[in-house]
Amino acid sequence: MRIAIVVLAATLGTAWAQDIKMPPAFDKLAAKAEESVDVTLDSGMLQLGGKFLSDKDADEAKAKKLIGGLKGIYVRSFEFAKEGEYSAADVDALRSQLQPPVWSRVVGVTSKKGGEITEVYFKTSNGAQIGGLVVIDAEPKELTVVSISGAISPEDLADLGGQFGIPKVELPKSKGKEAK
Amino acid sequence: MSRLDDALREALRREEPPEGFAGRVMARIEARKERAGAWDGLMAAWRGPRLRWAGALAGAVLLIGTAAYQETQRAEGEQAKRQVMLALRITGAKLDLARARIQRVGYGLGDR
Amino acid sequence: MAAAAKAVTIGRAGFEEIVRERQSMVFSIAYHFLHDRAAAEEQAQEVFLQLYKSLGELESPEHLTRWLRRVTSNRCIDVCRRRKLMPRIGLDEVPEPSIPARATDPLLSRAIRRMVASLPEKWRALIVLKYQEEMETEEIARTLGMPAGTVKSQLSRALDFLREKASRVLGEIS
Repeated sequence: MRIAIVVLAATLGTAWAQDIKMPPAFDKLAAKAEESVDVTLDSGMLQLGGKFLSDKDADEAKAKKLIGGLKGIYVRSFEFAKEGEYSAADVDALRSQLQPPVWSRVVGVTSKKGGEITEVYFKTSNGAQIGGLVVIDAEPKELTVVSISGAISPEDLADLGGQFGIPKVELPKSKGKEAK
Repeated sequence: MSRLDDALREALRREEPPEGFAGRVMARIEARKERAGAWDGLMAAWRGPRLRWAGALAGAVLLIGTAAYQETQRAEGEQAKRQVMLALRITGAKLDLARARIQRVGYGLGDR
Repeated sequence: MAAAAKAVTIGRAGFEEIVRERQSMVFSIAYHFLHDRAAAEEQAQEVFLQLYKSLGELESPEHLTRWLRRVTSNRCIDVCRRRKLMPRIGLDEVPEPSIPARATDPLLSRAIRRMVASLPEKWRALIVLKYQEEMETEEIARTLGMPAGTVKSQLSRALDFLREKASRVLGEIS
């Protein structure tokens, strides 16, 4: 029993400490994709990029504030010419890393009709901030994974949508209220 | 005093060098002075403009090196900045998409 | 006073006078060392060229003489070592005199010079400075930078060597 606790604690500790690793299969998907995006920004690159973000530009200023507490941003996005280029196993390889109690799935939308899956995971944190964020968007001809490591305040997260040139979609304040 | 001493003194008496020795020494001194003069002139020419050129060249190399380093840093920084903005745009877009789909199915992110 | 300044003060004629006054001393040390007049002149010229550059360091005529003896001796020792001249002239090459030698005999002098030229460099320097320049042990020691005791003992060994060889080749000479 004691051994099991120790092993569990060690596993949790390791999981807590680790960043999400993009599945190796993603490298093969890039070869199949018509278009792909690969953004890998570790803390050093974030710091360097932050130095070049202007305080005068509204979007850049917000981005600068947001990345201040981050350890890394990793984006993999693939757009395929036809459906079925990636498998559920490719997504599962990522999903398997996003296990409780370290990770919490806060959004999970699956459209069987359209074959779309959207999932948002938060990394739990001791403080008021979120310890990390993973977004999975799987569509028939598109797969996008965003992994943000590091502290993000809920305010920054709320601001993130609709920023950076993308029109913000107002969230409904209450259940049942639909946005236009 | 032994016979050997006498023989050594006799044998090792000072001898005059070949005729014109002093003249040849002086000629060599004059020749060296001329060469030294020419050399000094050459060195002066070398030291003056060449050193200035070397200094200017070193300064230019330093400036170019610094500028190249700064340019490399700037290019890397700009690239990192573009990637940050791209990553946040994609993240924002996907979060917006998630919100939109949540809205579509009838409940909001804030309610989860 | 700097060398160039002193040379200017002395002038070309003044320096040539110094050369003329000391040329036999310098040339003879080199000649008795090297046993080759051309090589001796070459080395003697080099010594005076060196003197021209070092004139500013010399304080007096006595200092000048000491300087010339020291520089000439050391230069000849170096030349001998470089050229390995020592074994070039062996005692076997010394011709046998047909009649008993006399001290003033030119043949004897030539034989003695050859024997001196066949000595090891340091012994040669001791013999040349003692018998050509008639220097005392202390003076030789200062010139060659050797302890006086060493000069004395080495000089004694050099003379014993010469005496033995001379008696073997030239007959009894002691």
